[in-house]
Amino acid sequence: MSKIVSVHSFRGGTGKSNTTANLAAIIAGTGKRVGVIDTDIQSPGIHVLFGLDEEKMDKSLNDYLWGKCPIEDAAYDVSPVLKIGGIAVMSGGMYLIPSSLKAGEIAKVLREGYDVNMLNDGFRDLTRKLNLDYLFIDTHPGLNEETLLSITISDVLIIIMRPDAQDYQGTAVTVEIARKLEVPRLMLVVNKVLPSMDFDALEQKIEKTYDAHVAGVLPESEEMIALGSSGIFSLKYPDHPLTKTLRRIAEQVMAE
Amino acid sequence: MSGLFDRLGKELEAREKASGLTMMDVLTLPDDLRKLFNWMMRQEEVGIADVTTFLKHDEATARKLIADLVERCFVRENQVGGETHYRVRLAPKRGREVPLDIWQALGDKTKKQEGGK
Repeated sequence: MSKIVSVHSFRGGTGKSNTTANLAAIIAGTGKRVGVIDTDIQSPGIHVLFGLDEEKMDKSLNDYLWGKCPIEDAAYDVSPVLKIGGIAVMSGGMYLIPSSLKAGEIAKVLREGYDVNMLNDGFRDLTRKLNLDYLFIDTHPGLNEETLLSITISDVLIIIMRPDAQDYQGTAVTVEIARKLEVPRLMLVVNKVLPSMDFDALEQKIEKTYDAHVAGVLPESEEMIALGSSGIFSLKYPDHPLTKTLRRIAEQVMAE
Repeated sequence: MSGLFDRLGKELEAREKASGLTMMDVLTLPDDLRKLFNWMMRQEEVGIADVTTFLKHDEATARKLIADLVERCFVRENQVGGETHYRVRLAPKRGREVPLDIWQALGDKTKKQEGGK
């Protein structure tokens, strides 16, 4: 039975795409078949983490939404990036469905809209046709049609937040909506936490505030900043404390 | 007629016939109806027996409710092997209404960039 996992944050810059890519890579590394779909059609970016060259992006989610191709034709096998220290990690396969990076195509989808039913059908078709164990949905920050749809059909919703007053308020809105949409499993991930902060106290405070489970508290890391989205952190730094926390989050995603 | 159907019927009457439901619409529905749509969206397609079981009502009530949702274009029918299946009909995402010259300017710029490659 495949699982749909949406990764969302109310505000931008929380590390949503980075967390999505890392969790997908870690889970693929356990032998599962994993797909990642970029539904952030107005500001796509997760393809950068997987090293997908824009020039080689023949098809994208946009083409599927315009009825130009079946969704699986917009899926790229990105499992070759699954390497630690230059050695390939055994995986079940990892696929990325990017959104178009072409300015004209972004303008077109924003100007003309699209059939939301196709997006809903696309998620299911993708898991079926690629025989995926997990489909990660990287969403646009805030609340829009794509986000609400992906939250509704998710088995697991991961909400990323930073220890920041604006994030606290935005997360409260998202948690309330997720409950209205009856997401079976909701988890919070606190990201970019200063190492000098008391992680346990922060986790307890957030769990109490939202009455929701905190799956992990991720420290702000110089190595992550230096990497600058040019790769997948957990593959580059497999022994880093940040990677260890990401693995624990991945284990919780995979738990029944 | 059941209390549930009365409540949902009144809610549906208050809404204009549209080309489908937006996710924002779903959020503002009363609990009973929102739960039905949340469940239907997760199931992909459902038969009338599934709806009857979900609503915990008799089949006639479920059929009447579904017929009303189909009539109002919130649910669409699909014939599968002689059986009628139902799925939520989501409204198309509308394009953004911004001054046309902005799109024109962006389109021109894009064409120039693509032509320059």
